[in-house]
Amino acid sequence: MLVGITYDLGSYVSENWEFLLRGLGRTLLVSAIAIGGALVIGAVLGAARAHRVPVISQLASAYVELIRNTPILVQIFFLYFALPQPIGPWPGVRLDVFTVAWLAVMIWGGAFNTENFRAGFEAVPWRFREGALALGFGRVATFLNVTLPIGGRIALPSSINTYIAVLKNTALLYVISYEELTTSALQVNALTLETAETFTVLGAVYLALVWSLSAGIRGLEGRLALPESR
Amino acid sequence: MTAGATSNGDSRALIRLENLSKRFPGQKQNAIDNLSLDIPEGEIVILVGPSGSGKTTTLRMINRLIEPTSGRIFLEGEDVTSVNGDKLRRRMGYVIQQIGLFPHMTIETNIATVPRMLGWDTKRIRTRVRELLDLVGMDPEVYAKRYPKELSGGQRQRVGVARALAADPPVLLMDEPFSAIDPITRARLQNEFLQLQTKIRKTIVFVTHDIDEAIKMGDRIAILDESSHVAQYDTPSTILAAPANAFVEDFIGAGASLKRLNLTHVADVHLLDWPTMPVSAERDSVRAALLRSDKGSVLLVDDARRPQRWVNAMDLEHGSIPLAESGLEAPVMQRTATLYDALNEMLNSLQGATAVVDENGAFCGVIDIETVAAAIRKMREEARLVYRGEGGSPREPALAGAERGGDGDVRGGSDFGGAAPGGGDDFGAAAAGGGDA
Ligand SMILES: Nc1ncnc2c1ncn2[C@@H]1O[C@H](COP(=O)(O)OP(=O)(O)OP(=O)(O)O)[C@@H](O)[C@H]1O
Ligand SMILES: [Mg+2]
Repeated sequence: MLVGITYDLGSYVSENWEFLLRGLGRTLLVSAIAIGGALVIGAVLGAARAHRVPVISQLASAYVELIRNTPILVQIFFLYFALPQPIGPWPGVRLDVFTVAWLAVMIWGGAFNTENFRAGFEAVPWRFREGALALGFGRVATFLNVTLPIGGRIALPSSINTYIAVLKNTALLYVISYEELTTSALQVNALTLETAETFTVLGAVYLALVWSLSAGIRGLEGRLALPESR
Repeated sequence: MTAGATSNGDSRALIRLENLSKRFPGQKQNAIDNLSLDIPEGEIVILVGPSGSGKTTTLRMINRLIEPTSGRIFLEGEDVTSVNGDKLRRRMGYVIQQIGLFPHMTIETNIATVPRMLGWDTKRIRTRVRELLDLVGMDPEVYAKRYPKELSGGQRQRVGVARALAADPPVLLMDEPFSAIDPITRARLQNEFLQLQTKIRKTIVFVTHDIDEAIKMGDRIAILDESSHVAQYDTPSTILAAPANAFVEDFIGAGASLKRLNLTHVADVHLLDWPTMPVSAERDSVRAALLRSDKGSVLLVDDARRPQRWVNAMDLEHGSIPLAESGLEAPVMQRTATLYDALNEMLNSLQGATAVVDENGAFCGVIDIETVAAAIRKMREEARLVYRGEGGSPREPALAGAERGGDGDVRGGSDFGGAAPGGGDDFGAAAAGGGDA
């Protein structure tokens, strides 16, 4: 069977779609968990950074530096292979492959999102916060009612990019053999050797995923947009 | 310099500042230094002073957005220097320099902020929002669902005031609320705000760096020097007639006698009766009304007695033009406007007289250039007496035509004050000339 001579996308898809779909499902699941987690991490740690909450702010800063300055592959390997082993009475940490999968991409996205949100919160004009304080909001209420909704909107475009990167990064999970879309496709390829078809389908599916993700978020952005930017 | 600050005023002090000082971290000098001030209930007290004198800091210490380094603050007799700041702030509406409406909330939600925080039910909040929008002269049907960006600067300012009033706090703190607005709109907002104050009677601390605005808006003015040292704390008329020192004199600037024109409100002078007719009336009955009066023109008003057109005998000759379009448009002046505003209006319009309206826009009389000119003549004579030391009391010279002259009623000022060319004498002469014409 020679690649290129028998290029037949139709029969490739009809023979392998079930297997690939299962991989796609895992990609979506891991991405959803990681994006949701990155959103929460970003908002919480971004707030701590922007408001210079003692201790938490410094820890968040260290976390962001660590993640941004090391390759994500190393982070995945670290979580999978390098966490402390049980020694004597110490329990150690052993994570299963699924946990490592979503955790790794979430931690990565959370670090980038912390910076996105920090910048967003810091860009909220002081007069809005002053207005809230003057009306008798406490610090937490001011954050929830004013800084978060306004700063969150400011941070939205850059955090969309982070979410897209999180989605694409799930492909790297093949290094720990987590059977998401890319791993599944590579397995099909190993059996069928239909390399051209495999990567055509893989590319097309990722393209569709990223497009629909960004279209979805942009739709949300449009609905959240304040009148000035409409 | 705090001698005059704690006044022996008869009205009760709603807010009392006692030896208030503030030193910001890392600074050698006090930003506010030993400030004492009594703010009487129901009055507008203006803090005015050069940039950096500490006006905003003082205002923010009153609601403890900035904590004082030393000194005490009393509200309604209660020492609030160390009570819960968030709760304290709910008792004081605050309108800030750049308004600070929340851009992600509709006008309605913005105004409802404090009531929601206080846990009012939805229906009560709705009613209150509508009431407040009406109060500041904005149609709830049109504006409730809009976002701040969809309003003009003046409208946003009004919403800012409405939001500050939402839970009906006894105190209103305002930091240069009208400074970012064009002069014409500003004058109108000032007049509307004075009108509003006659209804709500709040205790208001109002910061400005514009002495003309201070004279117009204030029942009392505190002129602040560096570090909020009180250079003088008194009624506008006293400050104008008898500045306490060189700093105050300098701050008032040239044309102090002309600024006194701002102290008298249109409502305080004798308004002329004028023949009016409904704009829907027959041409002949308008002509008859004109013949019956000695005024030479008739003011046409609509059903709500709002002035529409000035018509004279000649206008009535043009039978082809409907009454509603004949003659001249009738500009109006609110009762809270000052003689200065009135003079300006008349110099700008073709009529030597302007219709005056009440808070509902209904006609209540006419002010003519003669009235203003007489006020100016009287004022200049008095000023001469005061400065030669011949006048009886320099503190409260009566103003021509002022029916009521008590402290509480004397207000003045206008945007145009600062722009008056060459001060009082030029302008007085111009007005007198206009009066003769
Ligand atoms: N948060 C702060 N930290 C340090 N210094 C401050 C702070 N706020 C104000 N100051 C200083 O206190 C002084 C008074 O400032 P303030 O803002 O009260 O002046 P202002 O009279 O309102 O002036 P303007 O008319 O320009 O608004 C200034 O010298 C200012 O630099
Ligand atoms: Mg200021």
